[in-house]
Amino acid sequence: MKLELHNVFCCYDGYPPVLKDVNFSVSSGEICCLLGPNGVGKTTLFKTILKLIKKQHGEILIDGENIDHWSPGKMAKHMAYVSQFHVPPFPYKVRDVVLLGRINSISYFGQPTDLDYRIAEEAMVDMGIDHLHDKAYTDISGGERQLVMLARALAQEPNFLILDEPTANLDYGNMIRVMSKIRHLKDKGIGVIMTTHSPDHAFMCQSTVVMLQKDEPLLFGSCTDVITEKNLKDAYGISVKLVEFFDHKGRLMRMCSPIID
Amino acid sequence: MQTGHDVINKSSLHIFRAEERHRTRRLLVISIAAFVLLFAFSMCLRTSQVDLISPVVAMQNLFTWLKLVVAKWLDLPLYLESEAIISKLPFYFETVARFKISVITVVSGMMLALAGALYQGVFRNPIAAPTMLGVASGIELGILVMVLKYANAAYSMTAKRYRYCYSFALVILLIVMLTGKIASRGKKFAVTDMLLVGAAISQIINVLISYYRFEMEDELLIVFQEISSGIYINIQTISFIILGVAFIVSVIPIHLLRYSFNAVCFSDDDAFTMGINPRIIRFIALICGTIMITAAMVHCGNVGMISLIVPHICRYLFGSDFKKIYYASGIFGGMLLLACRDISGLFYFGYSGVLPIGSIVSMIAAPIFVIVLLQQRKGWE
Repeated sequence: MKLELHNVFCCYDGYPPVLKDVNFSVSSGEICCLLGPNGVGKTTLFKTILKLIKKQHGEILIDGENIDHWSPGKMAKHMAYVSQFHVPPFPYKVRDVVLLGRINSISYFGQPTDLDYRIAEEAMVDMGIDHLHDKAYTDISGGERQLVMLARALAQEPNFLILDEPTANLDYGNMIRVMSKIRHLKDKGIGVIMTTHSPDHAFMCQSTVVMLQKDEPLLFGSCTDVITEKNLKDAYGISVKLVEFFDHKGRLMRMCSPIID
Repeated sequence: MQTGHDVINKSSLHIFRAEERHRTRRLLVISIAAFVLLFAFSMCLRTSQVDLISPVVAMQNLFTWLKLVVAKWLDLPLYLESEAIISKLPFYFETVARFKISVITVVSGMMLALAGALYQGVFRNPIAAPTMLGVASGIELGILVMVLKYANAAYSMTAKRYRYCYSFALVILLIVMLTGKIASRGKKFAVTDMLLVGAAISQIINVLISYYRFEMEDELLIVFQEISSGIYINIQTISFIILGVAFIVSVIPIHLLRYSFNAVCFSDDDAFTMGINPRIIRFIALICGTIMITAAMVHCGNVGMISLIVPHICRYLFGSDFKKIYYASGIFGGMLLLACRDISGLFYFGYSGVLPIGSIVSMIAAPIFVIVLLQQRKGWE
């Protein structure tokens, strides 16, 4: 499975395009990190890919097929989305939230079957949140919520997962836990596209990187090619030192360390 | 988030699900039993004055009535003796009237509670009330015009009154929707705008109504009060037909979609990406909820408060899953409104002798609402 964007222009209705000429592709079993300063249009790009807002120009293909005329049902079979803000007004149980991921195959008039329950349970076990199943979604911590949303997206059985800042507002430990689960999803053969504010995340999961910049063409390539001291300076306007070292198994690791004068 | 010894394996999750289903079923059965008891009790209330009759007499009356109805349909010879049979039974007509009133009350209560659950769900707002779109004011305006035009005759002109109430509710609803559409020009059809416009238009109509109320003669005022507050209830066949049609038309779509309503609980974007079009769901909920609330308030008076509290009670007892709320609010809505009706039939109040059901609903609902809100507040953040 391959998701490709060709010459995509994104904008909100009636406004000048936020992003121009976006070209990149993601294959299943691959992680693609979207980097870029605040307000550069990362969420807009996601919404365009998901057809939540109309694109102005260009084409989005999945396995060479244009998704312009796909129904929400068909879209949901291929792509799942975890947005940034998601707290329902009512205290749904965690297992009910995860089960909702099955709603595409349940469809409008159906009821969840045993198979749906089982898939939802497997997704919970996979994300390591099965011990929370009886808790109210509104009562659990931010990191747990993020994992619940990942489980819900996983229950949808998509080929591509689109995550909008999955690690925003998480403490250090939860952030690493969520990142390791995302890497686990990649190993399961799901293509992951995510936005993040930390270039380290891209190194952490050996992803490809799309770096968006204001008024400049985007950069697309492997993390080692795109995340350079010069590019970070151009995109964010700060000085960063790239550090390379070996972990205890002898693998080459990279990290960014900002330089504050 | 620790994993390890407290990880539950898949089979025990499965058992848990079965247990939960069992618990929900048991709770539903208990509720239905309480409902049947309450209904039986309300059969023992007299309609003409505050008094109780023996349950045996009430049941006897009801059975005779059922027999006679069947006999009338099937043209059995029993029907010819009906007058002789009835004359032997004490309080026969009162029991039959009480039964019909109770049925209308229960059906109205069910519809109100369901409409409330729908609105709260699709607007993702725990205090969204289906009366917000102006139908309640529309109905009151309809009754007011009717009373001003026909005075006392308004009591007996059942069909005409329904035409007035329904058409006024519809007109106000259309005005609200059109104004809302104009107000949200440029954007997509924004539901919040519509609700705000609905509240504003309701207020304007209420000003109009209170002006006329102030100007009205006492006689007319009593007619208006009795009809609009649900003291006087029509129990002719036509009432049952209209209410029944409204009930069936609005409940069937909700019954079919009862699981899908959960999909809109997060956000529209989430629903879209999960493969469900939230606009279709919301549109159906809006239409069906409005039919429900209009029918219930035309037939049962101004008792909109039920729609606000029953879904909260159900959520507290059964959890947030809409499928359970759907069944539970039907039962509890009918039960609560019937209980209010019984209370209004059990005591003498004030100068006219009866306290309108709407006042009792508010009186009972307000403390329940406060309790439920306090209980649920931790869930909302």
